[in-house]
Amino acid sequence: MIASVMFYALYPLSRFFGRLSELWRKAPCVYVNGKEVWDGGGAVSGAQQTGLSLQWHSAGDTGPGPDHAETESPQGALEMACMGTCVNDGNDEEAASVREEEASARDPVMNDPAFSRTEGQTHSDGHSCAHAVETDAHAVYDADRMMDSSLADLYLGSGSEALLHTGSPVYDLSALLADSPPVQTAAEPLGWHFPTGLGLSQMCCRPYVQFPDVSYYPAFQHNDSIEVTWRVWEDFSESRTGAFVDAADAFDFSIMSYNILAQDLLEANPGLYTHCPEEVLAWDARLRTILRELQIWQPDIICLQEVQEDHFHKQMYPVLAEMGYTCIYKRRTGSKTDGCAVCYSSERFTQLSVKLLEFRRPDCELLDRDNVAIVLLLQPLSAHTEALSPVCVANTHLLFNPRRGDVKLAQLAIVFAEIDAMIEKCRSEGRRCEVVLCGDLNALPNSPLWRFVSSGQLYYHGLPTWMVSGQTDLSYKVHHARLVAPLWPSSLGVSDRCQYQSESQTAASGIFPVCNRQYSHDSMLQLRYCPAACVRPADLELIPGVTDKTPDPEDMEMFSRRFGLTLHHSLSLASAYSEVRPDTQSPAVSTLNSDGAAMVDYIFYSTRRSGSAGEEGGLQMLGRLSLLSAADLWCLKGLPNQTFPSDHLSLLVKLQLRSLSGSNSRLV
Amino acid sequence: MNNKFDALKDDDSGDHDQDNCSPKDGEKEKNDEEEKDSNTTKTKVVVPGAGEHPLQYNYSFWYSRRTPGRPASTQSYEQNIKQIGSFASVEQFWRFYSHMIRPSDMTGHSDFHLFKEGIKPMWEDDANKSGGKWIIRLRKGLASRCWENLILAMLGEQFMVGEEICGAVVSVRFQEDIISIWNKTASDQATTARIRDTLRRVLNLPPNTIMEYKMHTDSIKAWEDFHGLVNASGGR
Repeated sequence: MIASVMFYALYPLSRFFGRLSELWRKAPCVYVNGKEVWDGGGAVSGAQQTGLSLQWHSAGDTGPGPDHAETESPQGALEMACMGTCVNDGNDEEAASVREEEASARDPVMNDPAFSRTEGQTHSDGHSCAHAVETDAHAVYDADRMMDSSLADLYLGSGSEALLHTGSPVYDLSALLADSPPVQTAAEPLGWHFPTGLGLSQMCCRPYVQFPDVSYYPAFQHNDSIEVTWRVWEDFSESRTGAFVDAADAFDFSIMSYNILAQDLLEANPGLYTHCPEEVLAWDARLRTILRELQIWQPDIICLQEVQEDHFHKQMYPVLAEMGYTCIYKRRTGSKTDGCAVCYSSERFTQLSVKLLEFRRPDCELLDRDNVAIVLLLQPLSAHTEALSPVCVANTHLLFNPRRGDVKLAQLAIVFAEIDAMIEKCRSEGRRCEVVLCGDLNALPNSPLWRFVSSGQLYYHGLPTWMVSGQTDLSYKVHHARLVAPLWPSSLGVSDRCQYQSESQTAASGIFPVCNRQYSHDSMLQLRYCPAACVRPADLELIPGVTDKTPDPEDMEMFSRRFGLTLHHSLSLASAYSEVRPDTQSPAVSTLNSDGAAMVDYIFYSTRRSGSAGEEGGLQMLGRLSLLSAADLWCLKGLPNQTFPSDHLSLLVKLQLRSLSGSNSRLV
Repeated sequence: MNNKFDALKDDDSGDHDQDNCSPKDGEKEKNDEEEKDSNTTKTKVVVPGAGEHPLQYNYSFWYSRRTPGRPASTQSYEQNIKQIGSFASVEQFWRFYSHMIRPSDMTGHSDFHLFKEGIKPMWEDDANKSGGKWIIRLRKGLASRCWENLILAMLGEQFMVGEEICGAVVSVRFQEDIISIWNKTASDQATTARIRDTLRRVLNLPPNTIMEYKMHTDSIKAWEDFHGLVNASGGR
């Protein structure tokens, strides 16, 4: 059920390794939590934050993964085991049974390189790790062996169960990775491992490393405790409220959003990747890792951004096609070489319609950027296809420019309008339609743009355009471009409800002269206090008591909020990811480069708003692949690194579509 | 000379709120300056600004008020009505509207007129002479809201009667306010019915609201009768 593992990757003490390695062997055991620390080499543990009594060893002796957690204190072991079990939500019976098998049939070759790989750690010798583990397990840690194995089970057994889509009985990470050479770096032959138990709410103490803003290499002098975790699967399937839906009535699918960093863009912006060794920036290596990541998770739907056209067609598409995906690609306009791609499992979905969107509009000064989007309507395939509503999947990569929130909103509005059109088509056929909006929105959580997506409305009047995305604070600037109505020209044909205006309306506003320039009461009112309407006409004679009125600012404010200057969309969307990691409350990030780290990638999915009782519907999130904190990522030497091939992390969620056969099969 | 205000002085019931000037030019007392300011159509063509929302027609605001203290007999309608400005887009409309007081705040015997550019708010205008108007009498306190709803519907082409609409008027009187909308062809019942139904909808009127249609020819005749009466009694 729950597969959750925390790895504590160690901090590579490259500079001190030579000196430390000797001490290391002499003093292999270190207690943290203030009890006893390893003092060799000056790696002094600082303040400890949790009560978990955890001991650790250097990696020189031990295996790197949590399944090889070395505990000298049985108490600690018990604690960890206990935690593991707790997190497992009473699934310990299962785990126990697997555990025994695993304990006897443990295959270090299968497991250990996998972990060494996934941790992105450096090891002097991958094989020695394996041997060390065996030694540990059999000789040193007899008492803890059960626990060790169970940890492995949780990761490899239960984990795979939750993570992988149907048809993959076993999480075959090891097999996938078996042929990949262990990561070795001559300069950094060893690292430390700070293994711990698993569990999402767990904290573990390790030497804290202060990462100066300017350097990606930790200052050894400032050792304190730091946390390094691997990405874990967060399971929500049991915390869902409401009646459990019979498995036969539900359609579960996984969807990934992943900005894979186009090689052209990487090379055009070398300044963003100064922290990266060259080998992790090489496309061939990155491609391998990207494809491996896709193969590991095998999402039913993959939404990619920054996909370079030549790479996609020549290198990625053949692999994806082989894996059973149908792919749609849309290159950005102009001379851009990258674009968006959506790939869906042909076994699980069939395509009802697709729309490739270009945000560049020749007749619109605002929309002069080359971003694109793909919106497609997929019909889930199952034994009860009839009862399953279609899913509208949108994938986009909005403009990056932090100053141009106006452009971002307009681009997003086009996406929403297209989604709306697809939904309307379904609705006209009497079918409901769920929505998943994926992509790199280049906006931060809780930014106005984010809130607009989440809440369905945004009062934008007067908002500085740089503030829309929350990427950068430009408040120091003297002059602010601000959002004013109309956000985009009516010629775009998109209303401020993010819907395409009806044919006649669009035609009417586009052709001149027109015979029917109609404005509803509301649309007239929307312009009530637009800036152009607040200027006193030059030719207006001042007649006391008649034309001496001035617009009341308070009135304007109230009026604006009530009647207009607000952007709406009618989708009810929730973000699959929260801006903080649920376990540590540290900010989760989806991208990191030399300029900083942030969450800009999202998967939004349909929810049924509370209050609409009787209308079951929307998608349920069953689980997601956790994001990491910036500190975690810097411990992995930033992005891209050996493990994560892009400067973004992939987002992966598992969603459940409920069958309509139950109560209301028709929704109009 | 007498004009409509003589009649209105004694009859504030409001159906003469759009009383027009006498067609007899010789009766008018006006100087050139006033005429230039208030009554000549501005030569400048009003066009929508860049990016603005153009209206189907250009419109002009007019304002009229009976000057207190002066005998009504000395005032002509045309003299008392002043063109405030013209606009061609929704934004330009609000620009004027925002700088004009609301009808409820007007004092005395005043009217706002909003007519298509080129149509004078007078019965005698070519566009009006065979037309008529729907009249709705409102108790005090409702005029501002109703007037705004009415003109938004008119500017936004919500009446759907082609080019039939000429303009709208709000008249502030002592005990009630009157709004009315003028159309070109009084005899076109389909049009007048449609205007009535739209009025009910956009003004959100209660079903029992009394709406009265009055042809301008009748208004002129009534005025002339009254005028003649006044003239007679005035010993002219």
